[in-house]
Amino acid sequence: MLPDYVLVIIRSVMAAFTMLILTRALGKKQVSQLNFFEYILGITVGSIAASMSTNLNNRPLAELAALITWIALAFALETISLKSRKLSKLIDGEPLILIENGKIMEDKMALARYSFVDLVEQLREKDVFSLSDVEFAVLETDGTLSVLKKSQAQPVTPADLNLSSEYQGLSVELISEGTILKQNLEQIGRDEKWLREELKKRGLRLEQVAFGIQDTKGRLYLDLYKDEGINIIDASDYEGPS
Amino acid sequence: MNRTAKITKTLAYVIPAAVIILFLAVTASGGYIKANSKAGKKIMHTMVDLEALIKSESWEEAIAARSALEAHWQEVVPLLQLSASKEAVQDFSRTLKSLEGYLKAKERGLSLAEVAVLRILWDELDS
Repeated sequence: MLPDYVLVIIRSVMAAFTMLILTRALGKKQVSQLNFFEYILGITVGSIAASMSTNLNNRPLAELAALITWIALAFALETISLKSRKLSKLIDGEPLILIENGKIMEDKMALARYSFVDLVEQLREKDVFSLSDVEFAVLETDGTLSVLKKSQAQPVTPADLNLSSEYQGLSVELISEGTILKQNLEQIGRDEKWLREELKKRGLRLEQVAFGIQDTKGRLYLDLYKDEGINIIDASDYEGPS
Repeated sequence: MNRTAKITKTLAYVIPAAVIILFLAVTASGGYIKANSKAGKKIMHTMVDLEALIKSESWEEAIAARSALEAHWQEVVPLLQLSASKEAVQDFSRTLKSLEGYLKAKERGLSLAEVAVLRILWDELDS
């Protein structure tokens, strides 16, 4: 007969990989983007997985079926939300305008069960410390507050000053942990030979480079394993593990 | 898209699906193991034999049959544990042990009752 701990290990591996595979299929939503139902669904799925892992008195097939069903349900609701705007509003709800033209909408606040304390707190999180600075505040379906400040309270941008600004695209990773990322090199129309020559020009070998990127202006930024010429500041004030 | 990229993309879907199917197969394997494994088949036959031996009050043979039943059970139980609950497995093991006592005490009625319970537990092991 297999001891309990062996069964727990086997069940845990099954639960963990099932969760990993199925949640990957759900997409890349962050916890902060989940609505209340999705949040509860996440907790339920987690507790089913935990039970599958350690509660040996339940049949694993029943728990695996529950896990698959809940995640499939989440996937189905998400797909419906994407395809149908009406059903999406039914499932996810609608954003509520809590401040309109600088006026607090008390009826919407009551509808969202939102207190003035909640409103002021979320405004502060958006760096708004005075209600008089707010033009619009919208409570999104995931519970976050989107704020549009009055034009006189908004920071000045280069466009306001008629200043031209340069395009700032994404940098491309070329070296990671001393390894050349060939696929990324191909994407920018370069090859390994070019990169090695660039390193040679700087008197470097590939093994010395921890991280390397090229920005949109073609500039190469290289970070070495050995940090020379700087005094490394130890921020810790105790001798235990950091 | 080149051939390698196509294969990689296909594998990215096929492998996770295969893993889930494998897990489902393992956790649902109880019924198959009971019906098709050598030890599983022997358990079913031994329980039938055991009932007949108790009815004819052939106690020595019945004790030997119970020991054989326990040996078959020990053989198949590690596989069944992957699909059955701990409670179901423990119930079968305990009933097997109590049957041993009733057989030694030559308790006809109680021994038959325990064999009946064993048959139900065996049937319900994967349900």
